[in-house]
Amino acid sequence: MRIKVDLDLCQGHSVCMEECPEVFSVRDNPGGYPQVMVLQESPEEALRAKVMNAVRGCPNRVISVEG
Amino acid sequence: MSKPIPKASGVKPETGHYDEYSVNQPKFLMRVRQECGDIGEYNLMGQPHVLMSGPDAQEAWCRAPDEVLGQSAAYKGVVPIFGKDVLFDTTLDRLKQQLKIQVDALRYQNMKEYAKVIADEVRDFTNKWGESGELDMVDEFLRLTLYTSTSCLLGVEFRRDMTDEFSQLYRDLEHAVIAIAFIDPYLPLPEFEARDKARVRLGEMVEEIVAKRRASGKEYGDALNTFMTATYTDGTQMSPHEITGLLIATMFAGHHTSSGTATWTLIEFLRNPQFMAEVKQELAEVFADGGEVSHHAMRAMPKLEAFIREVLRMHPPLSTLIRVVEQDFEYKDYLIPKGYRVVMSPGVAHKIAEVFPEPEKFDMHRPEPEHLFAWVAFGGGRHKCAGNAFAILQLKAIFATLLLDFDFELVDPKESYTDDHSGMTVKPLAPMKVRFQRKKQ
Repeated sequence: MRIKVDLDLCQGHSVCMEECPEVFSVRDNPGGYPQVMVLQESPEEALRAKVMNAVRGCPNRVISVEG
Repeated sequence: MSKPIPKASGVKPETGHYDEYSVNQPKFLMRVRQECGDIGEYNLMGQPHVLMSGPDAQEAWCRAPDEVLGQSAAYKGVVPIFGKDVLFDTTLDRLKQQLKIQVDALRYQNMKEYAKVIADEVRDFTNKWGESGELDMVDEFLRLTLYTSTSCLLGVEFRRDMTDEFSQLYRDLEHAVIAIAFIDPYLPLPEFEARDKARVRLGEMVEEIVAKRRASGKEYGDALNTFMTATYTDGTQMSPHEITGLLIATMFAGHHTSSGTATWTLIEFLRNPQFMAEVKQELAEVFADGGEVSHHAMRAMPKLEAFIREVLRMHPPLSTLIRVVEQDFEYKDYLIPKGYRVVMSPGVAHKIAEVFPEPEKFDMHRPEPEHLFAWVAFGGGRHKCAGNAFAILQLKAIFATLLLDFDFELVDPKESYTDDHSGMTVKPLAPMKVRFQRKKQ
């Protein structure tokens, strides 16, 4: 599984970080919206359910998963 | 060499398409798309506009940087309402920082608090309805959402002690949102005089709460707390005037849009009883153990959410979103010159038959379109409505309570419920009457 994020769409709502802190963090971005930061681009399979909760929970549909 | 932008027919000298546009804006814009395709030019009182429709054109509109498509010039009518140095009356850099502070109040951490606050408000509100009767839901939802937004923004204490004065001041601000305000918001008109007085008084009220809170040192889970404690990148905090402005702006963004959507949600439930039965079944399962309307319970209601998203497709509360071209804007083979206005219309976007087959049919099981920019009820891209998650959460909290506690039926023939296109924004045409009956425990 590979995680992709589209930073044009991110407003830092932080649902991803709440659902799956192993993979997502949100950092301040001086002068703009906070932005998601992917901590592991290819997380282990055991995290898939949590990652998918983050994908579905994101209000701006920032995150997508390949594979 | 760029191609000329297709132009809509029927332009008149001086007024352009204004007459047709003002009679029925959604119908006119749909005609522009049908005649011109994804990109089409029309003219309002001499000002050229370009409608960008279809998922790809909508995406280009949403993704354009602020330096190319600017927001501020399109919002000048609300500057005196939000106040000097707030949002669209400041530099792009400040605007971005204030929007960031605004979104901080709508982040996941605050949202958990709001779910409970909203559920409590809904219960208090409906307790005053009694056992059965007839209501105009346009008016009911306008009041309910004013209470919920006041609670979430200014805090439960303020809401509890909220006076008629506050509602009246807020109304004075609303009544200043008239067409002429977007041409010159400083004309000597009674609406504008009342607006300026109301803005000063609201500023005083907020300043008072801020001072009290700073003195007490207590932390709160509302937007005011977030705004009071936020800092700009230079380390300074927002002034009470700026805090007031951001609170008003947040309230304005969410009030009519949410109440209109709540009204349509109820009407569509009653027009589509088979879907209502499905959603009620889902609610019964989620709340089987008598659980609270918590944030977590709210997340686990995909059917109610799908229903609300279909309501937003059919009745997007903002039918057009406007930007001003600050630097020549290229889209495919076209070049839209500086000074033009470019428009994205959720009203048009959601009725494109190639994207949403049988667009006039209400269907909560419609598959979500693959293109991310096909469904644009909240806009999209960097300036997507930052309150989108809050809005959905609020609607879920309202309907979880209403559908569990009451039975409703339409008073008037179901096709008679319709939108009012005569104002600055699209809204449900009042009254929208329903009969209610409280369920037996």
